[in-house]
Amino acid sequence: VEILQHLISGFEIALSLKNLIFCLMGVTLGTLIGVLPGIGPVTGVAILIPVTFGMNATTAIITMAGVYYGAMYGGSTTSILINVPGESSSVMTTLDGYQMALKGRAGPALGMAAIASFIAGTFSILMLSWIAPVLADFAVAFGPPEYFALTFMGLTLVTGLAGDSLIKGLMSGVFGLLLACVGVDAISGSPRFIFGSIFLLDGLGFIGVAVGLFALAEVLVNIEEPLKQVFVKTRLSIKSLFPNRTDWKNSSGALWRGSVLGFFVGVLPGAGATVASFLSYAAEKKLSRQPEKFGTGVIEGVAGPEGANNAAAGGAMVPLLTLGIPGSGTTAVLMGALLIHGIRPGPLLFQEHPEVVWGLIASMYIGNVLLLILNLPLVGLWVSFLKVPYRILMPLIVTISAVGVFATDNNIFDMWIMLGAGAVGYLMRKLEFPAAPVVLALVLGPMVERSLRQSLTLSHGDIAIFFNRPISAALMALALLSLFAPLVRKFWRSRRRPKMQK
Amino acid sequence: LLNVMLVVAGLAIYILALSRLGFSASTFLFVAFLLGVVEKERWFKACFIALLSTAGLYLIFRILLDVKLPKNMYGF
Repeated sequence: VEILQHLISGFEIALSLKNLIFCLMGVTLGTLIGVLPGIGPVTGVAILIPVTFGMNATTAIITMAGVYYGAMYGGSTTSILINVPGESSSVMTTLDGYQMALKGRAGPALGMAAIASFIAGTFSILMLSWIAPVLADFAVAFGPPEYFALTFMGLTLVTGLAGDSLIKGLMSGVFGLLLACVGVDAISGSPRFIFGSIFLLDGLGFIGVAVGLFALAEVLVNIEEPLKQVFVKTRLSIKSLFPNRTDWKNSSGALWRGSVLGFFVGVLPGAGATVASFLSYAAEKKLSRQPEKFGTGVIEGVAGPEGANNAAAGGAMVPLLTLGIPGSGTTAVLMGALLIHGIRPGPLLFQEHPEVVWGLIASMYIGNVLLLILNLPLVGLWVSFLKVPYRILMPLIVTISAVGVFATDNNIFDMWIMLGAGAVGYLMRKLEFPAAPVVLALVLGPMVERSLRQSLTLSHGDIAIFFNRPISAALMALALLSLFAPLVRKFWRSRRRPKMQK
Repeated sequence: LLNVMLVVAGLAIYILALSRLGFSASTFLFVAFLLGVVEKERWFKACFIALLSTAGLYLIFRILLDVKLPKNMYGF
């Protein structure tokens, strides 16, 4: 009942004309970013931080979250029509979606992708509005040791799960923690690693690093390896978009399983939308009575993963809002943006800024409805955007990023940070180092450091304080466990591979 | 790889140029450079898109978002 009251006040905020317009803008941009291969949601959100800088915090987060889940809708269009995933989270959609398009069933595939996204998205927001306040209430009692354990766990989970290599993930994470040390020491007040530059006193500008590491690095990688695009010619009328009765019958189970699975995978830090869609596809294939038909254009192969990646986007909001732990690159950038607006995500957020939390949650219900409208009748419009060549897009992305980074602080120095981060990000991509742990560590770094030093002051330097208290002990155990998760995964994979070869 | 270095070098020169040539001139030159040299578009097309995008960015950042963009000594 209390939740309902909060939700109603949230809707009052989200339904104001200004927030409604920006929510629409966010989801439209998100769809566009999703449709265009070569720009992902991280890039989109990072570029948008400077643009949303002048808004109030609620409107800014509504817009940026809109880009995040909007991209999950748009990605499927590209996957189905040109067999190139618009986002990494819609890779699985290419398998059956593109086959359906080849068979002349692009319409139902696109329609089912949009409907599955809508149902799963709405389901995960329902879960979010139900679970998040409970979790936040529970986390309010956390002291410094619990916070340290929590942030530590967030870091190990993401570094452990981010890439294929645990060592590379750890190196990225530690590199990010190092970057987070730049600036004035929060406890003693002495400057660190600033090399006499007054610009570094406040630490490395988060926006510069995030835009460089994601947006610029992505552009640099893409100009080196141009994307090839082959269109499936289709005529799309609104009527052809609706799946028929057999389609519904075949995909309803996949849809619900995808939604539930996606939400819980999304809640786990480090997993996220891509893993969710992958797991959903694997699960559907295993449960199906005709697993051999997967990959030849079955509609449940579209409905499951597309539902899962949208549900994961909602699920990822749970740890971000209630614990202040972002689980992925995109949510880390979202958290950085909130911090810039002076809002600290975490259990106290629900008490200190209910208007932000509930405004955001309510806007996500509205955003999903808007996205359904944007993606069903207007799908033809997005397809025509696909015809804009990347050649022309590339200079625009670079310039918007550069000017945007400058605009947040009117500071040319931030542009140099962006350039440096872009070059580093490019090398990291080439050497297969994951970039998400760097940004995550940069955002969480100050929090990890403060809670670590506060706890050690409390315990007079005894690290046993992290293992004496039940909650922090459990979290520490999870953190250590997560470091071994990649080993377990490797073991699984080596067992599974011989089977697949048969 | 040549293209990657060209973009990085171009961006560095763009950042240096901003405080001297001002926003409009350097952005126009930068976008024209990216299109004309890196992507090998025809010069006419490159200049046209560069002009449009400079105007678009000016509209978004200067007019809608009220950011003080760098100017040159002639005031643009």
